[in-house]
Amino acid sequence: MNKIELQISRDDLEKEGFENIEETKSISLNENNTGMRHAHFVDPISVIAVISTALLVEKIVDHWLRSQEEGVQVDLRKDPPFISRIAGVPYGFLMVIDINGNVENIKYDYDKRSDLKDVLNKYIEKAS
Amino acid sequence: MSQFDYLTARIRIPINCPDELKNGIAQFYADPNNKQWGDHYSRVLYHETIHFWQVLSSGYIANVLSNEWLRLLWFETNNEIKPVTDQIMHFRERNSQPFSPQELAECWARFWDVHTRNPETILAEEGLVQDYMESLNTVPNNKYGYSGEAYDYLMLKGNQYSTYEAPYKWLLKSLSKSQYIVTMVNNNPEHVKKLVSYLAVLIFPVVVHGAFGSKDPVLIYKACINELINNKGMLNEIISKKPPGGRINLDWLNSWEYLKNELVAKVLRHNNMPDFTSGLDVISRGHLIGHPIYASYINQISKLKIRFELENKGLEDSVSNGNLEDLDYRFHICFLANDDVWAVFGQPGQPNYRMILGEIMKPPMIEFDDFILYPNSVENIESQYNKEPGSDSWQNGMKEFIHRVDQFRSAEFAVQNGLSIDAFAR
Repeated sequence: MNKIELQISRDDLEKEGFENIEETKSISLNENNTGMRHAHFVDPISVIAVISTALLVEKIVDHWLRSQEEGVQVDLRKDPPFISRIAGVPYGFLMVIDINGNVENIKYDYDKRSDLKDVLNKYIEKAS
Repeated sequence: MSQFDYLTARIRIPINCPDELKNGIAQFYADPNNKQWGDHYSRVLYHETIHFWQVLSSGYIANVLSNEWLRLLWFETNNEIKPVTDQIMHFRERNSQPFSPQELAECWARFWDVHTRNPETILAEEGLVQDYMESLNTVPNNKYGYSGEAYDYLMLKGNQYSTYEAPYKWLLKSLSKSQYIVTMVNNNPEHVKKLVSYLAVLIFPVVVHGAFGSKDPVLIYKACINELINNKGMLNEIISKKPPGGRINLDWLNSWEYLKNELVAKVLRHNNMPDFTSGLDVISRGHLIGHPIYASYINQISKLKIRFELENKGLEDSVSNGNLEDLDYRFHICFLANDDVWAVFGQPGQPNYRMILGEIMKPPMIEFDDFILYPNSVENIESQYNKEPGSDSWQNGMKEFIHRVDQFRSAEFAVQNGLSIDAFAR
């Protein structure tokens, strides 16, 4: 099991049904939003959650990148690892920042999602 | 995530589209609390729509958007991301104030979504009834409107409470400190609370609407409240204008002109600012004239004016036929809209105004999980696509424009993260 910090909308958090949430806090409108982008019904949140690597990888690849067609950021330099569905990563891309600060952008490809899961697993295992 | 995207004017609602809405969105604005549309997300859709109407009515927001539009055009011409401008930063930052213009805009939308959904309904939907009853030692009752206590409770303590409500909290606090208000009710704490609650809900719409017609909404908003709490004559005048009985929709209509002219306009002049600049003024005279979506709405304002002239004619005919029912309210609704069409955007909580805005100024695209609603329109919105929303050309035009914005956002994100501009190119 891994502890992660996840940035997510309140709507989506309810849908995800995380069982082990240790902390929840609002993200100010002044963070995480650079230009004049979106108005929201309510500002997003940041949660500290405990989740298995397998489930996390499945959520990122199968749910968020594929089903929701989102862009996801994984920053493994931070403790706990930081994952954001709202950082502004272009949709269909996974942006991984490894423990040394190297950035890899991976475009989601339906036919290569097993490979993507393997890559992501390795990144997370290396960081833990 | 539910959101309104400023640059594309696209609304996103993260649920499946209720079947009944697929026939057209105008019916939603006529009756937003109809159970056919579901519960919580009706409120969300209305909230996001208000953001769209804010762009059309607020010169300040349209000017900020114009900056973002120029950044997009610069990227398309030069393949380079320009830094965020000072005006965009002004929108986002608090600038030594207790809240930012962006937070005030969110509070503005929250004010109307709570009013329209009805605070007592929201208390039930959010599971807050027990806490509300214990906190205030009262029982919610949504049968006959709602109470000021319920409204304030939700604005300050609801489940969706966030930084959005900070400007309203500031307003309540400021009014509570007014010695004139306290004296008016002989220092009775319960009466002070009720009067403050009433004054806040009465003045917020006209003040925030006027503030967003200026170049510095937070400064003007705060200055108006500070002027009011120190102006005994004006406070007396407002209270004396209140007819017996509690009907806030009528009170908003009754007090709009007085507060606009005697409070907001004077504060604007004191700060050397023009009276009011609408979003459509900015769109029609500035760079946004080239924006494929917003520029399509410029001609709609004349249709809105004609529609209210017809409403007025309908009222006259109705009265001459002997229908005097609710005449005071019906008269004010028609009179104010004909006198100042921007007041319609300032009071979207008036059912008649909301319904007509929903017919003539409907948002250009609402994206649900399973369905994209391009509002069908009986009005022919003249766009550079030269087709009305709902037609293939409008849909293709929206898709093409969203693609342009996606390219810009991808490049912007890449550059902000120290990557090459084409790191996320498709």
